[in-house]
Amino acid sequence: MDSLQLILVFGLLAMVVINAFSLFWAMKLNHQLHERPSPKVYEVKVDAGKVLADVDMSEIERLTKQQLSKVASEAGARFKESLDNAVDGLSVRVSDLANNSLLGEFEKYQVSLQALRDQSIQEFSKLQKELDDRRTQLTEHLDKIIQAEGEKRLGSLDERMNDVISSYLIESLGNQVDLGAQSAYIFDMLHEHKDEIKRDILS
Amino acid sequence: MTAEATVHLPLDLYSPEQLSAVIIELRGYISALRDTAVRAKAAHATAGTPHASALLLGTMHESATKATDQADTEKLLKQLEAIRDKAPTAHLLMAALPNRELKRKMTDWFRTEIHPFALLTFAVRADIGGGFIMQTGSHVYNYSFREQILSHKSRISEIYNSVRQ
Repeated sequence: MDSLQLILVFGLLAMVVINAFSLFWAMKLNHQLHERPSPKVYEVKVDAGKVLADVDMSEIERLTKQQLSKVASEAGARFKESLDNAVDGLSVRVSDLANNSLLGEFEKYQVSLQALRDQSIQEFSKLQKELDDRRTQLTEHLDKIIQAEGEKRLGSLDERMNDVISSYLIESLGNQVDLGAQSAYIFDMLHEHKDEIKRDILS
Repeated sequence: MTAEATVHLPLDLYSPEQLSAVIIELRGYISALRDTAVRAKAAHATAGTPHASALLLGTMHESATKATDQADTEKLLKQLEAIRDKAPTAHLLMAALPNRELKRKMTDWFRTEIHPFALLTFAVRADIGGGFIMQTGSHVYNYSFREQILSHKSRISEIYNSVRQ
């Protein structure tokens, strides 16, 4: 065991002794404090009405009222002044706010509103244009359908009329044949197709 | 030159049936002519002329054939038989039977424009309204009024529209 360890052990023992002495001293002081006698409380009651005379009481009340009135008026004046100052300050503040902040905000709001309005107008214009285009397309498509249907019905009517008239003509011709009157047509047809007939009949 | 080159058919002889009938009649005529000649020779008399139809006489006349000459008639017979085998025929359908004049005109047209021995047949189909339908070989030419009306039906509405406007 070297000298350093020896010193540490002695130091440790010294501290144990000091702590034990301190605890003992504290317990002794606590015991002395509990054994000290408690102070006596004396209750004294004074009747103001019996101490002062009636004259003095009225004077005191008057002075008190006077003092109270004075204090109240001073407090009221101060409060009024403070309120006026507060109102003026608030007014200035509101004015500043209105002139600076609110006006700026309002301008921003107006700009935003104008931008929104422009955008809305643009959107509505675009929508209106799309609606117009769509309406035009639909109208054209409908016109085409109506025209096609009309032509189809007219064609059907024409075809039907042609059938009726041609049937009537054929029926009528069947009962009134005049080959003499037809001879010109017959020879015209023969002349017109002479080459074909010749080629076919001689083949 | 072919055997039938000198023959000219009369316009009244227009159909194959008529030609066959003329050929048959001509055979009989030749036979009768031969018999008559034999009898006349035996009787030392002048040979008469056998009876012949107007169509046969017309055929002999058109062909410049002497009716009393047996050789000529036999030649004509051979020519007609050759024509019967080769003559082109057109079959015509009409709304009514044509009269003799129209038949002659049509026969003349065919023999002038198509072939000198062209033959025609005529039949009736009342529902064609007018005009004619002609069949030659495998081809049919329809120039009937019915066909003209049906193939140009759209013209009816066009005409109606033009008249209405």
